[in-house]
Amino acid sequence: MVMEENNLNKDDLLGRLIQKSSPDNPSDDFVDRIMEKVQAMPEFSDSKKTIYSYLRSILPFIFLTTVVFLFLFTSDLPFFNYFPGKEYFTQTFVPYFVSFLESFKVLISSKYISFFLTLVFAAGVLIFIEMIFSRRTKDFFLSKGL
Amino acid sequence: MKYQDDNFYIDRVLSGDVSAYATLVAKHKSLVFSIALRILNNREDAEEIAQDCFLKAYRSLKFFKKKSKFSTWLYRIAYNAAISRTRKKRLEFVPMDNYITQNYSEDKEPETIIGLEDHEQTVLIDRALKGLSDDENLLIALFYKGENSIEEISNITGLSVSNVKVRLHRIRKKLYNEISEIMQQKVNRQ
Repeated sequence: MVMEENNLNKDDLLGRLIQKSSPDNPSDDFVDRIMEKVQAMPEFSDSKKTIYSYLRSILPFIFLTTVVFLFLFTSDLPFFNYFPGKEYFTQTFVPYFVSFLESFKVLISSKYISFFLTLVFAAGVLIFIEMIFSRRTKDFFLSKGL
Repeated sequence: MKYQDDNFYIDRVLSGDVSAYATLVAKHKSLVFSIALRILNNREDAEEIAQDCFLKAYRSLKFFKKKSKFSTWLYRIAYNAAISRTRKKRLEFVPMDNYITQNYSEDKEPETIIGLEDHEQTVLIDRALKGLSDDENLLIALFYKGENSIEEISNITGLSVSNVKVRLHRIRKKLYNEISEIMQQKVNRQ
């Protein structure tokens, strides 16, 4: 008879005998030594974000918002006194972007600058991906006990 | 000592009562140490790994989602830490065709054991367990002493559920044979 799953009974004679076998115990002060180290660790309540780390995390957003506002307020373009429509799109928005993109022509006119920009862009993308995945994998593996 | 459910202590630790962690350590130290010892085969290394395991678990306690048992999560940390230390390969996969050809039940309980005194039974099972390999002892400890289900052992060791089952069947069979042999030797001596 091939054994079925149900045959793996923990409460049979073998199970009861194994429960009686001598346990593998670490040294007597094992718990104390761990608790000594645990007490030295920061408490869970301290692990909340400090003001500094909070500010640091929102800094990029503050910077971006500031740049956008500076751009909007110092621009000659009538961003705030015109509701977007077809005319606004063709007469203001498109020409603006044309001039905006043309300004990049200067940057990419030189092959050295183009090469450099490509490297910077690639490095930026890699760093960004690494930041996202390292944070996620750390949390993931810790939650899985790895 | 009668322990409460692990989640009770975890909640207390997370709410700031660090001393509750001592109970979790005391409750699981034996099996965590046993897992490390079976893999590392050295008491000092095993104790170091067991200690690291508890500290790592403490640091990561807020990440523990309570979807699985705390013990399963903890044993998995211990298993992975010990495996990483030795760079030993994980438990080997057992092909199913071997299982089908080799696992015809001979799972008979030697009845003479029942008549033995408690301490004699302990000596007997200790001796029989010594006849198993470290990997086999590890699985037996997880199944019987850690009271993990086959699925939980599969999670801890990375073996498939069917492989854990096959291995446990084989180990039980081997243990019964060991016990029978020891009993036979005992009878012959008398």
